[in-house]
Amino acid sequence: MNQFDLAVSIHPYIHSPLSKGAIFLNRLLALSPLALLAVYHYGVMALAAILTAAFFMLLPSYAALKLRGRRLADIEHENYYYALLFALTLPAGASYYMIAAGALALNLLVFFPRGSDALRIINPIAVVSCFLALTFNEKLYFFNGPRAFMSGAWFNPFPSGNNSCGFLFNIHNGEFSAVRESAGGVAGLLSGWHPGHYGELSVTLIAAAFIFLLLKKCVDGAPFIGAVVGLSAAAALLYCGRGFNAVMAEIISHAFASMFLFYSCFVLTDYYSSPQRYSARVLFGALFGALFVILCHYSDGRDCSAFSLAISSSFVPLLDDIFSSGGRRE
Amino acid sequence: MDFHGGLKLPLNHELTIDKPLTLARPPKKVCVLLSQHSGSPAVAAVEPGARVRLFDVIGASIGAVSCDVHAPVSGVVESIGDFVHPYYKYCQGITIAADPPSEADQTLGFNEAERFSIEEICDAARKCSVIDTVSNNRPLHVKISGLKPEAVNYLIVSFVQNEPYIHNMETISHIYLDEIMSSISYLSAALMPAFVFLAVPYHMIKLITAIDNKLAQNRASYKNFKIVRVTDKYPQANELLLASSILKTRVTQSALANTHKCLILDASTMFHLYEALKFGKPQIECHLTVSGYGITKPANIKARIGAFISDIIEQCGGFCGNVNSVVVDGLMSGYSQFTLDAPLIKPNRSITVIPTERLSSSGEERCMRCKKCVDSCPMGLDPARLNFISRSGAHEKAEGAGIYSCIECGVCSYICPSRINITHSIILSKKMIMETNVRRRNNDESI
Repeated sequence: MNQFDLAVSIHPYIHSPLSKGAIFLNRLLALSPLALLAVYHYGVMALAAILTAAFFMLLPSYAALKLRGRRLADIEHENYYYALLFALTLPAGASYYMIAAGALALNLLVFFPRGSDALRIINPIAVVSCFLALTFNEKLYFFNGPRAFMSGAWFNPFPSGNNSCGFLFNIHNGEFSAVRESAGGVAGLLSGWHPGHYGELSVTLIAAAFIFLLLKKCVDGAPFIGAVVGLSAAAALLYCGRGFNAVMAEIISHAFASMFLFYSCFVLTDYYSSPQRYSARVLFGALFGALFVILCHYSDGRDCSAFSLAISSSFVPLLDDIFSSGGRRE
Repeated sequence: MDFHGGLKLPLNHELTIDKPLTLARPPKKVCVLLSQHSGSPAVAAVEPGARVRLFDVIGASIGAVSCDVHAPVSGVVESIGDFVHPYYKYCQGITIAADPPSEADQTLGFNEAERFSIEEICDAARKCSVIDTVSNNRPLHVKISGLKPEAVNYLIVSFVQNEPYIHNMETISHIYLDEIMSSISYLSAALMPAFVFLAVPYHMIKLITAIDNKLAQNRASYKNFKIVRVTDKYPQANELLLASSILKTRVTQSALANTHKCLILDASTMFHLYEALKFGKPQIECHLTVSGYGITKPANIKARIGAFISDIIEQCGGFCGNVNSVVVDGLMSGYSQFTLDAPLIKPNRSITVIPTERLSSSGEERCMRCKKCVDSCPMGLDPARLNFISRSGAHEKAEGAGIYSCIECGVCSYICPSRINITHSIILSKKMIMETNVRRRNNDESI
């Protein structure tokens, strides 16, 4: 054999089969059932919203590729993933201007400043959602965040013709407040899970998608663990005066708020804007969880995920500094 | 027993695990490199045209960290000159045209003694040029000289080898277990450590059983011996990580010898030490796993140093299919060869031949900060940050980020989904820092 045919490079000579493209493809696959459910439930409006978000998200990236003389097929899966993620956080009845503005802003935040260490305080989805809430929300209440496909006006906890089904219905329905005060009542609430109910089905799909991504190692579970712990601790502190079972019910209620779950599974775990070390990521998640409970308690908005995450993200460089390690120093 | 980070790699041992250890064909020509170990290379002790016999010293040690080089064959010295080294450098080598092998060549004495002092062991290691593969191929006599009895708390003998395709340690351990255990008991009797730990990975079940039986047969001799099952993760074989796993505490390089008083050696070193003590046989052989889907007949080969990689590959039936890469000493920490005319050296343990279709060929993409490298780094570093510092050219900042703690295991590059060669950046930074320090020192001296 001709010796010059041998390839020479530095070790290692093998790589993990998990590539960047595969990670984002798996994430797209995981979110697809949620998107399909939204389209099934809300119809053509939802599909139009998703397509509009995707178009304006991909437009700058396509233009950049064309200017560099590359093929459109070279566009990374990362673009499609962020487009779908953004679409799934859109408020009910979002105007197309809002969708277009948000998608363009998201593209700028995701792809252009990513080389800069300092700009890791920006979680793109959270910042864009806050921007849209402040710019387009009619009431202009500071903590009145946009309501997404899976909550608010489009999420109906009272399915027509059936007033007593579903775990989430039971949690939110004041008529069952007496049930919330006893341990047996809480267990009874949990056993009322109704997969045919839109809200509960979407929550189930979020959980299934997250577990799928965890098993495929395409998402980081540390911030999620922190979020649940932070939420539980904050809820326990805020509501401790009302008894243990009330605290448990509030924790379950907040934890299963679909935007909290969606944010802590897919938005909080954004690679770029989370801290480097495992312990820092758990703490980052805990900060998000705690802020979520606090903002929900002191505002009239049900979903405060975006603002909680935008505030938590500003602490990322500090958390990195606190938890940085120089290795096994002599 | 475990350590933070690391990875379980697919071992791919099925190609060669059941193959017997075969002797390499006697070479017609060998090229013995004078840099077989870390430290100062040996200096040629023969002239071209000289006749040498098997085991003769052909390279004399020079400096504190050095050892002699012995002739692996009898023959005539053809030339002395620069040759390619398997570890990406050139060094002096002695080419010997080998005589046909004869029985007389193999005659060695046998030392009946069953007890040796540490000085005798050190002397035998020095005379036979035994090298220690655990501490980056340092001459063994340099590592153990100065050790006093009872000054070592823990003697750890590693049977660990968790890289894909390589299992020469397991092969040697099965075939030469008696010799290895005897050598360990000689060293243990000389040093009198509090404990002797035999570190064996979980997956080497047959070896664990064999060692267990051995210990059970002679409990009196092996009373402070203990088998420690360690994780299958790579790079468990690294001495710092091995000590950390067994002692269950973070261990640094200086603390290894000073605080914890650990001496770590591996099974192949113990085997060569046995040959040195009992037969006075210099280390002139290496045990290789010749494997990979690009080789026609994968095999376990016992070859002499100085034999060419091309000869070994020819003995194993040559290449199979389109071959892109021939890697010596492991796919994670080894060296891809640009020529098959590189000669083997003592620390070599494998030749892995990779067909073109099995190599991952995608180029580097932008870092997406997935933190997989941070979570996997066994030394607790931030490889992504070190890569960023290196590529930005600010190499002096890397020192503060702990770059010298990096053991260049390659785990970060393996796990990176963006296929960034972080190991390359770190090695480059280390070199740049060293050059800068040398330049500064020279400038200070000239002033």
